Amino acid sequence: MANGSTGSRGLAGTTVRINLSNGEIKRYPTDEKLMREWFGGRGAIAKILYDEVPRDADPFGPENLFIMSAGVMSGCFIPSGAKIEFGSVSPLTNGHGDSNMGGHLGPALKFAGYDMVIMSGISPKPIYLFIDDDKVELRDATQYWGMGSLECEPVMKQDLGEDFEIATIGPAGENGIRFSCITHDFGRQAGRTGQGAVMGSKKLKAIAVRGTGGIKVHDLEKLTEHVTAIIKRTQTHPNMAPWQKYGTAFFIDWSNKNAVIPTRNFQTTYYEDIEGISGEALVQKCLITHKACFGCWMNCGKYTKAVLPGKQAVYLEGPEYETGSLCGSNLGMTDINQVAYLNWLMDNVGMDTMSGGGVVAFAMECFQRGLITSEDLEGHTLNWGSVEDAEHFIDMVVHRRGIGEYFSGGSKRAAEKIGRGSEKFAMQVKGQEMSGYDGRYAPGMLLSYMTCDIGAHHNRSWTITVDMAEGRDKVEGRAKVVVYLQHIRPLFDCWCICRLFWGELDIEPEEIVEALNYITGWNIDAAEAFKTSEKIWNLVRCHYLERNKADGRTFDYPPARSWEDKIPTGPSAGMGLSKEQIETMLDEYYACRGWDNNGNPSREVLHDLKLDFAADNIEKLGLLGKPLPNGIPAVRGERYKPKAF
Amino acid sequence: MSIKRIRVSPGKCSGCRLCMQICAISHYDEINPKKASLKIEAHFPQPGLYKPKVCSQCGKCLEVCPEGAIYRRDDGAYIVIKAKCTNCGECIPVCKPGVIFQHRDVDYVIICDNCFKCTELCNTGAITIFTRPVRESA
Repeated sequence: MANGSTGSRGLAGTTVRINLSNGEIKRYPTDEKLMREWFGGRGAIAKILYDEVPRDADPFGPENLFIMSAGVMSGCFIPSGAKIEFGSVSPLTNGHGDSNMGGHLGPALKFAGYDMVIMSGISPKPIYLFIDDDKVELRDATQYWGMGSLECEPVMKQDLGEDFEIATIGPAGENGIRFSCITHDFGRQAGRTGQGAVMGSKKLKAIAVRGTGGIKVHDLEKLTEHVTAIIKRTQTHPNMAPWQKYGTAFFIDWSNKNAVIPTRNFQTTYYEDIEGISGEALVQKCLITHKACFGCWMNCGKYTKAVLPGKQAVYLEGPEYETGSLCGSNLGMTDINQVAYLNWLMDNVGMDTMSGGGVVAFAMECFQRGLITSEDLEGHTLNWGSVEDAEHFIDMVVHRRGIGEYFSGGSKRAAEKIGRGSEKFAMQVKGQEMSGYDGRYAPGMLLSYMTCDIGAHHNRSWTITVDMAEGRDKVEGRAKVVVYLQHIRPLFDCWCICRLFWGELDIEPEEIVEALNYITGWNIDAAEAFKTSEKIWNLVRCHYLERNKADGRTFDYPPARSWEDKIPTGPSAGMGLSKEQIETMLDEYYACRGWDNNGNPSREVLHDLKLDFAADNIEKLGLLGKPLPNGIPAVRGERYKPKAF
Repeated sequence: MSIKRIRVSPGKCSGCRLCMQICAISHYDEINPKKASLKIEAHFPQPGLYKPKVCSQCGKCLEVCPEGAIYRRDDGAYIVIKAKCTNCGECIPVCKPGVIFQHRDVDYVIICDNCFKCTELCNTGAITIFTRPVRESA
């Protein structure tokens, strides 16, 4: 039952399965074996999606699942233990998709007594999921359907009570825009892989949760002592003050100085008007209050107000780094209020500001090159730096009007329609738009995007400081670091905690595993954690191959701009990678993973990871990797401690 | 001799609720912010402000308690005598900051006991310890 009465050791105890088609709600004791072997969160979601969603299922169809999981550490007394993970087959990439957000929803779900909610089917009418401790209900959401994400949350709080934690989608999710997000806590998003679009396809407008129970852990005394020591030790870490003051927006200026900031759709890596959109500008012009997720002492969230002439003042959280770059320099915006306004707009319509920024930038470059014209834009222009143009275009996309329909599936699908060479600068991999770092003179970062299991995304591996330390024009040796990062960073998404405190405050993986052991009693070491993460990575790869039915290598290339165009301006002018260097990185990467040169996992590595069932499945499709001439490496990836900044 | 209480600087709070977690852990061996003796009011989307609510040591709870189950300790804290408290709830509506409450797991009202664990983990300076010396009376 709920309220943690049967839960133990970090788990709340109950998993709920809901068939949205007929409204059937069933409760089960949480599968502790699944949580242990797949680490909850992203891992458990990956296994359930792999096992239960037919390979030919439409991501928008009733067979796709929509899962939310609070993992084993969310809500527990651990810094940044605030995350909730969402997962489904992604309508953006057509592979396993997952995305997470902070705030307070994950802990609330655990406090209500639930570890995971697994939803299937499609509701006949708009509904929202209502959870209030023991009560789990599907309620009519007709009155909320059509509302903006940010507008819906306060209305629902008024209707249900201030202490409900609420997640919503906006019109983008309702209309099946493939890069739609889920919004919570007035500005926290699970943005990537189109999880909001899957919610919309299921007619699930919102999730409201209130929990008043507690969470029991394996050894609360040791956990409290350990975590208290971490918090006190890091309060004076030199990175703490800038994090608290600027949050991730600190990196806008930093990225520009180091010439990796995407500018005007990744045409160059240095932005001449950076001052107007920097972290300092954000704090000086827009900041209202610092805003933290549950249990986090870094408070990187910046709650702000954007004021633009002729427009209503808007309240939002952000822009953080990714939005600041992808909706800032990448769209040629010169004032932080413009960036913040676009941030609010995309949040409210419910589209991922990262993919959204990428898609608008791609369209702006198409306009710059005459590939789309005012005729396609209902008489409007689409110029760099124009909020009005961007706003009108976003409206066309959200409501799928005219050419907006092309872009509703992301830049890859749009480029396929527009053609005429536009594929070269649709800055995505596997259909998902790149994060806010240009990888042309940061080879590890480019490889990270290319090989990311959910399409281009920095969250799995971020190597800018590695590239700077190891040589930005050197590609050899980068793969093993990328593989290591692709193992450690997704662990946080399994455990449903934030990764930032690890990267920025010099907290060792072993310290986090120690906390995990106090919570769960699993008594594992970091090596086992990395190997479990590797198992999840390989399962997700197999899932992708099985759905998309071609050699993995064919999906792992970035757009041709990545090697054809040298960087034209700024400190990295004239620099760039060759196609040969990109091929070399892929060769090294696959060898390092124990995959063959076609990018397909070999039976040997899958066996080592206890994924023989997946090896059998890809073998039937002719996609099992050939045995490696020298066998697989004993340990895949090489531990590396990146410098914070 | 000095009186101690929690001082609040509302503009500094970022709403992380570490204070509420450590409060519940310290008193109930449980991670459950709903059992904390302080709370954080969130005022969003406008104006965008977190207001920590803590015991002001006004003493109204003691005044209305029909059972004599609350006493004032020398440091200023109002302490519930668990064995005497009947959980009648008379003290709840008179608490101006709204931090006295009942929880289904316990049969007495929950009131802050001045342990100040919450202030130790606050990383923004939103809650700190306020100390006021008390003049010895003749």
